[in-house]
Amino acid sequence: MLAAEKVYFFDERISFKQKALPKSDPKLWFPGLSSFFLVASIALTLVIYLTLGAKIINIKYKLFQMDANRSKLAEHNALLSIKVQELSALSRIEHIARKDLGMDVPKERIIIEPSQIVRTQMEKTQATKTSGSNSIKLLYPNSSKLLYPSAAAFHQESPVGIP
Amino acid sequence: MRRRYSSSFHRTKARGVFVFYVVLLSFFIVIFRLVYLQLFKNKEFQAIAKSQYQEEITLQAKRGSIFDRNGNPLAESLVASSVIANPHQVKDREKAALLLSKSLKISYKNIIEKLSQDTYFVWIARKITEEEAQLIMQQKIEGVEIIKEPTGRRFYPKEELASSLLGYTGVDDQGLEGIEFFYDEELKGKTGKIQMERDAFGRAIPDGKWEVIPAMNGMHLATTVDETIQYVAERELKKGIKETKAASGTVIVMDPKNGNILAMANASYPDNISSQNDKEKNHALTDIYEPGSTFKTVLITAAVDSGKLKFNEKFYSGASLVVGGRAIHNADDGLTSPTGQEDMTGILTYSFNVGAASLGLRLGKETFYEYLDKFGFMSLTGIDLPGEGECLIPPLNEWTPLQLATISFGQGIAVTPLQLLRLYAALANGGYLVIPHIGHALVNDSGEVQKLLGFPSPSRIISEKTAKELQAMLQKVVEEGTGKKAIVPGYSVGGKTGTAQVVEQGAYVSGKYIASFVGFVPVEDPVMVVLVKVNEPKTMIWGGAVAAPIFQAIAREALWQMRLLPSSKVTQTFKAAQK
Repeated sequence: MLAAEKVYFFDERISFKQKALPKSDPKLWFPGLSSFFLVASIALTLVIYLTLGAKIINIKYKLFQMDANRSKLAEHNALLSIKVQELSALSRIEHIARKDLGMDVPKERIIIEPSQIVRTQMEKTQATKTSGSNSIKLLYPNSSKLLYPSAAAFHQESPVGIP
Repeated sequence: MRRRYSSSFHRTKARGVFVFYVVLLSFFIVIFRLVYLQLFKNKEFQAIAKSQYQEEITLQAKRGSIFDRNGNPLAESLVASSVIANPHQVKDREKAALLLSKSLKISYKNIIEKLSQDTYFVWIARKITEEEAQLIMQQKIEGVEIIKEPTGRRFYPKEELASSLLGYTGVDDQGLEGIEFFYDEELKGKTGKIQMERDAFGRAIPDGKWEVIPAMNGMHLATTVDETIQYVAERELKKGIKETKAASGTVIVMDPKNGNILAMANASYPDNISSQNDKEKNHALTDIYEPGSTFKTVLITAAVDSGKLKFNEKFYSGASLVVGGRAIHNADDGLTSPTGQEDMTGILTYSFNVGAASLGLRLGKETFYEYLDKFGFMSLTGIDLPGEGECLIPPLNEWTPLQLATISFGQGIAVTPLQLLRLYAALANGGYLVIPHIGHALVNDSGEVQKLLGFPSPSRIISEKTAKELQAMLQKVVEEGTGKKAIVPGYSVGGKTGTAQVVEQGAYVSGKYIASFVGFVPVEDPVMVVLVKVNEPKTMIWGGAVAAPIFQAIAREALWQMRLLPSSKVTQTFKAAQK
């Protein structure tokens, strides 16, 4: 009986196969086309990711270089700033003023407080007064405050001072 | 029926089993080796790998700058490079030494010696300039490298301005003297580090593992020093020393209201070798000297404030006075008392030694000693600079009448210029003893004040009435007495001259004097008090002739710098003249 159950008739077997295997679709006839597209898309994504990643890394390297250049420029800037300070040293300026320009410290300075009448007349003009061998220019701006402010305005602030 | 296998089959089978076991054994060996490496040698190989791909860079901490009161930099630091070499890698030592010698201006012999050492590391030069570093890098000398130092290089852009005040730093950027030493903790920074991963080319991997400990730059110090006043003080002092052929000199300029030091200058005669050797020392702070007649002000202040003696009381001021068997004379400057009796104003104005001795003997040593203590002569001023000297005052129980008499006119006692200046500041500001100081504030890189350096408030030591009376006396000294050369046109000046003998090895040296002048301007509202001290002038010896003109020149420029206009009294005089 078992043997008989296992026996397939030839025709039925063929027809079974024919049923089991539908007629192939020409479109799907190329095996694994979908898987090919899948793999291709994954590969493409991977390639794009890696390329962009490499570019980002390159940009970061360049940023590092630029940062290093910036630091060098900052150092150079600091060095130039010190050079400027050296050039503006008072001893150097006085040496140039005396030796090269022939200047000298004035023997005396005269500061004139104009009376009210004089101030009005002088407000629109410039006056020059000489003293000894040196000239001192006195300018009379419109506001007398610039010429003769109160002494208190120029006193240094004393944060810790006399109570 | 059982199959029978041939012997060849058995041999083949045996070979197969043998090979199988060999391969299996090999696998086990490999596995054991892997396990051994991974479990037991793990840390060792990790360390080796880290050393290959990890790099540690030290981040330099910049030392803080020092500024004057107007924000002008007096000292700054920059990143420093140094030259190192691996003698084993240097192939052509002579050529390398020649190139380095030319670039760094170091002796060829010195470099050859270093490159001949049997070592893998030598310093060729520390903290060189950027130009020198660039030059050496361009030369590409094998075995020689340029490295960045963990600490920077100190620059003083104003050349020698305030050099004894600022001090200096060592090779490792540590403060060794002056302001650099005192404020070293605040000025020095803290180095940081970066641990990063690097690729095969030695470049840092941006997305690699980073560990950053940032460097902390030092704080910047804003001082009370005024660059212009400091420069003028140094210039005039040097000029005065040169004109009088003096050995050396000191000038201190201070704001009497709060103790701000505006200038502190030291100078010496160019040919004076001993002074050149210790020119970095701040003599204004360290040296003690016998103040001479400038100390009479201390005596009279004590006398007036104590109330023991009347203001218009007369004291013997004749030609000489015998005390303890020794004769005390007035200075041989041609000034004599017409009546032989002078009040305190007269003693101070014409600087009578005999008058001062008489006054001192009348005041008494206990009162005088008590006031010396009150005026701060027994202790340090507390200035924020290292190496402050201490006064030399004999203990009270050792004071003989002769000592009392000589101390009264400033001989037999030694003080520092700063302590004497402080007393005059108290007279100028109405009776308060200030704490002199240089430091004002600590500032960060953005310019924001991080900390205001506080100092104890001034304490009253004499009454305002006493201070006013002394101001008037000292003004008379300048207008009518020995200090006429200190007059600053347009301003009221008060001060005292001094001419003291020099002491060497416990004895007074003939022909050697210290000329000094201490004064303040303007009297009605002083903005500065100035001490000028000139050691061993040769062409002239008197304080009024040597030190007073230096005071006048400094005060004139400083007042102009401070934009302080002349007093109204002078202006009125000029207006009257115009009419």
